Amino acid sequence: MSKLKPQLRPGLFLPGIILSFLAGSALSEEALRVASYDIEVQLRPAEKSLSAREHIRYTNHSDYLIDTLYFSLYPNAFRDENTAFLKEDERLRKKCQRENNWASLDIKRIVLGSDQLDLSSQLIPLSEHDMTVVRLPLAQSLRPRESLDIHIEFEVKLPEVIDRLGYKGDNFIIAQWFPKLGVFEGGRWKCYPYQQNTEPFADFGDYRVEVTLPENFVVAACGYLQSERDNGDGTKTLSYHAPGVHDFAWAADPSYEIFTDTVDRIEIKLYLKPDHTNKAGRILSAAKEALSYCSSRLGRYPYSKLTIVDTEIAGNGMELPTMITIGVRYFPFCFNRFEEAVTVHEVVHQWFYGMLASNQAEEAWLDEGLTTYVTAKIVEQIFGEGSLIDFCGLQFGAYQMDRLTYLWESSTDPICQPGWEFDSELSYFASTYSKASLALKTLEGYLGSEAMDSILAIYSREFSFRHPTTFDFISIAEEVSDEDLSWFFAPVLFGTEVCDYAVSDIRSEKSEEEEEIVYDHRIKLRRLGEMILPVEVKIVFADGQELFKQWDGSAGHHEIKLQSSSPIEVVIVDPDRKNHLDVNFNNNSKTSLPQADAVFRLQTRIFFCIESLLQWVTAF
Amino acid sequence: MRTIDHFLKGLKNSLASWRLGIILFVFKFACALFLVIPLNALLSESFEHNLYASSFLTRLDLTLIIDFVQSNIQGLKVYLVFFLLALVAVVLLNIFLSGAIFRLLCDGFRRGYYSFTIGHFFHLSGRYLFRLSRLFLYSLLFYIVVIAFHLVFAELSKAIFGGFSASFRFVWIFVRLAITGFLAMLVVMTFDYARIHVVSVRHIKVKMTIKEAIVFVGRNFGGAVLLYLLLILGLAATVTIFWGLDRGLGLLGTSTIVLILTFLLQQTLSVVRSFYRLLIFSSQISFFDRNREVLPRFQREEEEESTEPI
Repeated sequence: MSKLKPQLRPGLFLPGIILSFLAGSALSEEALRVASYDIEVQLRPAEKSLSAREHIRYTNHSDYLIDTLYFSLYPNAFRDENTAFLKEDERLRKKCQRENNWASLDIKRIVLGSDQLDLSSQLIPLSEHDMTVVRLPLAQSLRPRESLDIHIEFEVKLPEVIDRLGYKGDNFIIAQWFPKLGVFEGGRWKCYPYQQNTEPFADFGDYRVEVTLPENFVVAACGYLQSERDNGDGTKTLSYHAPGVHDFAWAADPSYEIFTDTVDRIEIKLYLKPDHTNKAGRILSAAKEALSYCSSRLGRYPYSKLTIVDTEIAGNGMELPTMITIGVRYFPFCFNRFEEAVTVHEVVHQWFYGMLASNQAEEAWLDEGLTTYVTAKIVEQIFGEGSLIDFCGLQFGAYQMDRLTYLWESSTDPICQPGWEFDSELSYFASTYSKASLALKTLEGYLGSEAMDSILAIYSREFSFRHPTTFDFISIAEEVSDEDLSWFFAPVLFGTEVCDYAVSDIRSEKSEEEEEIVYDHRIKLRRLGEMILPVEVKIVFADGQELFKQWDGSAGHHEIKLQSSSPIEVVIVDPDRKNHLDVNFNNNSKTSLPQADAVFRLQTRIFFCIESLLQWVTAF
Repeated sequence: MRTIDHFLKGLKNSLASWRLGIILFVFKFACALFLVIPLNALLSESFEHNLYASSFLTRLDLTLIIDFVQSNIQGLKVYLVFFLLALVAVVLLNIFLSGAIFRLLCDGFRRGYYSFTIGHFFHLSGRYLFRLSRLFLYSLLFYIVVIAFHLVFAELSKAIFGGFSASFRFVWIFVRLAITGFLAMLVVMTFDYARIHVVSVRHIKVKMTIKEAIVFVGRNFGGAVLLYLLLILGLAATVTIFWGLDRGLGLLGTSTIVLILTFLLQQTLSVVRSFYRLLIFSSQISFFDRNREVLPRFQREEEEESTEPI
C-alpha cells in the first residue's frame, strides 16, 4: 500500500472541477510501453478463420529477472468441452457440443529475437485441459530494462459467436484473438486462464495492425486507420495504429453503415447494421454526453477517436481501448434506455479499464464497480431519475437496477476478490457491478459529492496508464477525506456482511409538570445486519421541530431517551439516504400515526388488479 | 344491422337479469378479497408506519417494492402457492356458477322471464357442473393447440422471414400475434356457443356439443365474428372511459375522499364488467337462437326441458 501511495499535490482539496482540470493532463504518450505488438492478419470469411503473424517487443520494466514468458490464448477457451470456461457454463458447453461449435488458437511457429529456432514445441500449457495460458521458458533470462523480440505465426478458428469472439452470418467480431503476454508484476506473472468471471489483463504498448480481408467488408477497429490499399485480388489491407493501449480488437461486416459525430474534438464513429440505423441518434447522443461528462470530471479523453460498433456478442456490450461494442436491437419504441445506458457504461470504461488498467481478473470491481457508479450518475443526469424504464407511469432508474441485483446476492461474496472465487456469474455481477456501485454511492453519501468527485479525479490522474489496485483507490480516498476509512472499506469491500438498520419502536409517555405538558420518549433502534456503519437519526416532532442524533451503529440495538413538549411524528434512520447498502429501506422510519391513505391506495390498487385478473381468468 | 340488433337484445336481457350480474360481481369481489387479505397483512407490516410509503399516493415507488419483496421473500413464496391454488378453486367455482347463469340467461331471453330462487340456482349449477367442467378441459386443450400453433408459426416465420429487414420482421410479429389472438377469440367464442348448447339441450355428449358449436360457428362465421368484435369494441370503449375517469380523479389530488372515490370507480367498473359478461352471453344467445339448425333428435328433449324450481 505504502509503496504505491501517490504523492498528492497541493491542489488535492480544491473543488472537484479544478481537480478534474488537473486530471486532464493524462496523455496516451505517458503510457509505459511494456509490450508493443505488430500484427498482420488475414480474415478468411469462407473458412471462418484468421491467419496471422505477430511481432511483440517486450521490455522488462521490473527489477526482476524474467526467465519465462506467459501468453494468453483466449480462443482456446472454446477449444473443447474440457476447458475451464466451458466447464463453468453447463448450458454453453452443451450448446457448443450440440452445434459442434468450437474455436481455437494454434501457434504454428514462435521464435525469439533474431534466432530462427522454432520454439512452439516448448510451449507448456498451464493445465492439461486448458490451453488459454501457455508458458515459454527462456534459455536466457531477460534482465531489467532489457527488451526481447518475439515472432509468432498463428491461426485462429472462429466460432459462431461465443462470448466475445466469432461470427454471425457476415458479421465478424474479432476480440481477444491473438497471443498476448500477461503482466509481470511484483516478481510474478499475472496471466489467468480464461474463465467466466475473469477478464483480460495486459500491459500498455503500441499496436500496429494490418488487416487483410475481402474488399466488400467495412472494418471498425481500435486506434486510427493509417492507410488502406487495394491488393488487386479482391482483397484489401487496412493499417491501424493504436498508441498507448493494452488491447486491440476489430469488427467487420459488409453491411455496416457509418455515422459520425464530434464532441470536444473527439470523432465518434458509429458502425450500425442497416436494421439498426434508427438508433443512431440515440446512441451517438449518449456517447457524446458520456464523453463530455467523463472528460470534465475524470480527465480528458486522450485519444482523438472513439469507435462504436454494433455486434452480436454475448452480453450487451464490451469495452476495448478506443472502441466499444454494443448489441443494438431494432425495437423502435422508447420505453427503455438500455442501449443508451450500455453505451454510457462502455464509454466510461475508456477511463476505468482503458486508461486505468486495473487487474480485471483479481479486482474487477475497480473497473466494473467504478464504471457502474459513474454510469448511473450520467444516466440520471442526462435522462433524469427513474429513466432506465419509463412505461405507463412505471419508472425504473439506474440505481434501482443496481439495487435489484445487489439485493438478490447481497451476502454471497465480497466485492473485492479474484473472479474465479465468486459463487456464480450472478454473484460476480451483483458484487463487482451493483454492490460496488452502491458502495461508492454510500461513500459519496458519507464524504459528500464534492469529495467523491475529487477522489475519482485524483485517482484517474494519478493512475492513468498504470495498473492501479484497490489499495491505491483506498489511499486516494483517505488522502482526500483526511481520515482513516478502514471502518468503511474493510466491511464493504472485503466482507459479506449485510447492512440493515431499523427503527423498531417509539414509546411516549405524557405527563404534566408545572402545568406544562411533557412527553418522555424512548426510541429503540436496531441493527439487523452484521455490517457496522455509522447512522444518523432524525426525529421530527408534531410541532415541526427536528432533532438529529448520531449512532455509531456498533451495538445490536440502541435506545434514545428524550423529553419534549410535543409528541413525536416520525423517526428516521439515515434520513438523507446516504447508506445505499442498507438492504431494507422499509424499516428505516417509523411514524406515530399510520400511513392510512398510502396503504389504502396500495391495497386497493392490488385488490383491483386481482379483481381484473379474476375477471379475465373466469372469462374462458 | 342484425349484429347491432343482437347486441341490443343482449343488452336488454342482461339488464333484465340484474341479479345474475350482481352474483357475478359479488363472487369476484369475495374471491379477490379472499386472495388479497394475506398480502395486505404483509403490506401493512411493511408500510403502515413507513414514512416513505407516502410516495404510493402519487406513484409506485419501485425501490420500496423491491425491498418489500426481498425482505418478505419466504412469505411471498408461500403466498404465491396459496394464490395459485386459490385461483384454481375460483375457476372451478366459476364453472359451477356459470351453468346456472347461462341457463337462466337463456330462459330470460327465450321466455322473457326466469325463475330465481337460491335453491333453483344451485340446482341448475349442479346440473351442468360435470358437462361444463369437461367442456372447460376441452377448451384448455384447444388453447394449448393455439399456443402450439403460435410457436410453430413463429419458428416457421423465423425460417422464412429471417433474412428480411428488421422493420418487416417487427411488423410481422404483430401480424402473428393478431392471428393468434384471432384464433384464441374463435376458441372463446366457439366454447361460449358450446356452453349455450349444453344448457339448451339436456342429453347431449360434450364432444357432440363441441362439434355442434364448431359447425355453428363455421356456418355463421361472418355474423359470429362480427358480433364478437362489436362486443370487444364495446368493452374496450367502456374500459377506456373508466380509465379516463380514473386519470381525471387523479388530477384532483390524493385526499382521502379522492382515494375512496377512486376505489368506488374501480368497483363500478368491476360491476360494469360483470354485466358486460352477461351482455356477451345474452348477445350470443340471441345470435344462436336466430341462426341455429337444431338436429331433429334433440328437438323433443329441448321442449321437455323445464326451468321451474323443483
